[in-house]
Amino acid sequence: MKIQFENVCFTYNSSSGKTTLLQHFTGLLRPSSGTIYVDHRNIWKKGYSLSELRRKIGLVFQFPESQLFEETVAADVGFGPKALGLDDEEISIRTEEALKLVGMENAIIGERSPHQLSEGEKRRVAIAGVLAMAPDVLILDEPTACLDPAGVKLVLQILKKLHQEGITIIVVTHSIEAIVQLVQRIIIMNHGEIFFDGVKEAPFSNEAILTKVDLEPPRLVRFCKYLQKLEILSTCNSYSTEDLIEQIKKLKNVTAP
Amino acid sequence: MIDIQNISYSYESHGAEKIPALHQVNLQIREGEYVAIMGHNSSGKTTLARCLNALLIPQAGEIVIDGLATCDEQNILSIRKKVGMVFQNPDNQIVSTTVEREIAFGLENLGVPMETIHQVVTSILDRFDLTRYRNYPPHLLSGGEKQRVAVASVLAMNPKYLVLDEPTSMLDPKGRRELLTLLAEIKSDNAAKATIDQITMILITQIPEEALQADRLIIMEKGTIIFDDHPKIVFQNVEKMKRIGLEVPIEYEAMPLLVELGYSTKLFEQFH
Repeated sequence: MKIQFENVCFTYNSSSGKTTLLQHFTGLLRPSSGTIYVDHRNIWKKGYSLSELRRKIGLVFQFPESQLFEETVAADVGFGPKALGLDDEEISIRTEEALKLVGMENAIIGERSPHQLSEGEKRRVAIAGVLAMAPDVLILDEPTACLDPAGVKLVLQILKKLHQEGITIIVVTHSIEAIVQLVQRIIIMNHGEIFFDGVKEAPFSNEAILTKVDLEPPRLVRFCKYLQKLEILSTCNSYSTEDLIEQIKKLKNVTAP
Repeated sequence: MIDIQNISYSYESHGAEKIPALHQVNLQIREGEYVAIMGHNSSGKTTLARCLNALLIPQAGEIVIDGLATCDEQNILSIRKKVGMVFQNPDNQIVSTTVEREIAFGLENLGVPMETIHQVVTSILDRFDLTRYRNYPPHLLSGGEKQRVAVASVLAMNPKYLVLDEPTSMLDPKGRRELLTLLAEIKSDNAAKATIDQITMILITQIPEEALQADRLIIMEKGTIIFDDHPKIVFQNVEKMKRIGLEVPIEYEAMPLLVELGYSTKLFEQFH
């Protein structure tokens, strides 16, 4: 499997091997066989710096907010750069920028305790902590889990912006419904194997791919298909509610039954 | 009946101003109802749930469950027997080393005779399709199975009211689907064929599709109830729901546009 500059979504059913795979990406686990190349270099070859790898690839664990531990938001976000041995000025620049990337202002929130924040805010601070390491690749394990719809929307916006800034985003999730509008490529894991790897359009136009691994197509897709069956819509290529609403609005200009 | 009379609740906060989690809430839930409660994070829905089995006692107003007020300490045991609670994360709820012991745990605490416990556990294991996991350590089960064990062990105590606080949020799609089907079955089981009587269910959720399963939907916002009606009626308030940061099922969002185009609303009732 090769991942270039793109947005990828991994989806899976439980114990399909996705966490194990993620841990291989950052060298937390060593494969029993096979090789992992990052930027054309074998990460397990002698002399390869795993700490350099972990700076390059930022990993946001599931429920990352449970790992916030510093007294202030700024100290928590700055913890990574500090551990890299950067000077104070660089640390504060990085902290400021990372918080800005997740839509927060250091001046407003920096001196507050992370524990006073809402769940959604904590999650964003935790993501900022990884961004402060200036990774080229960001891997997120269930980034939208347990957030309310507004929180989910914010996280998606942040990821979209990060991708535009040139960061490769890899998301592991079972809520494809939320993430499908963000990604271009979907990899479906099943029992430790890659069951599907391709453009996101494919699994949604072919329900058999999803049902075979016990994933249900998002309600949006099912509704699109339903409208198609009723011959209200002729095509079905919406991946967000907004898209679909636009598509329906366009019908107005054609003819009503 | 659960009778919530003008209750308010605020959490202790450090320095910052006190924001009431619940503000003068009035609500009656009748026996046998299936009620969903939706609201964004910190809208007060979890606080309300915790007030129902006296984990939290309202600072103003009163909750009376079948004639028992939650603020009277003498009632707490009887109330907890009546009102079963399933939390978001089954790992926080499961305490025993095997599935069988987990299901027996509550009954043992209630002082039920050994003979009866054995019968109840066997029938519950069978009812929840857990018999093959009888001697399994719960932590080896999948998230969905663990949540099923949590629901089973609460229902083993035969509560009259079952409160579920976002029980599917930690589950994968398969686990979620199975749990929802199970809840619908529990609800529709007739008392004659199952060990479980018609119970009252209160499902707290963020997911609009889950709320569609209930016969009544309550929307919480800033500690108050802003909608209380059948889900099919509530979800028609698309704009208002979006303004408070909640979603409606996609068909409800599309419906007004399609109706404008001349399609009948009947078309959408067939979509599941």
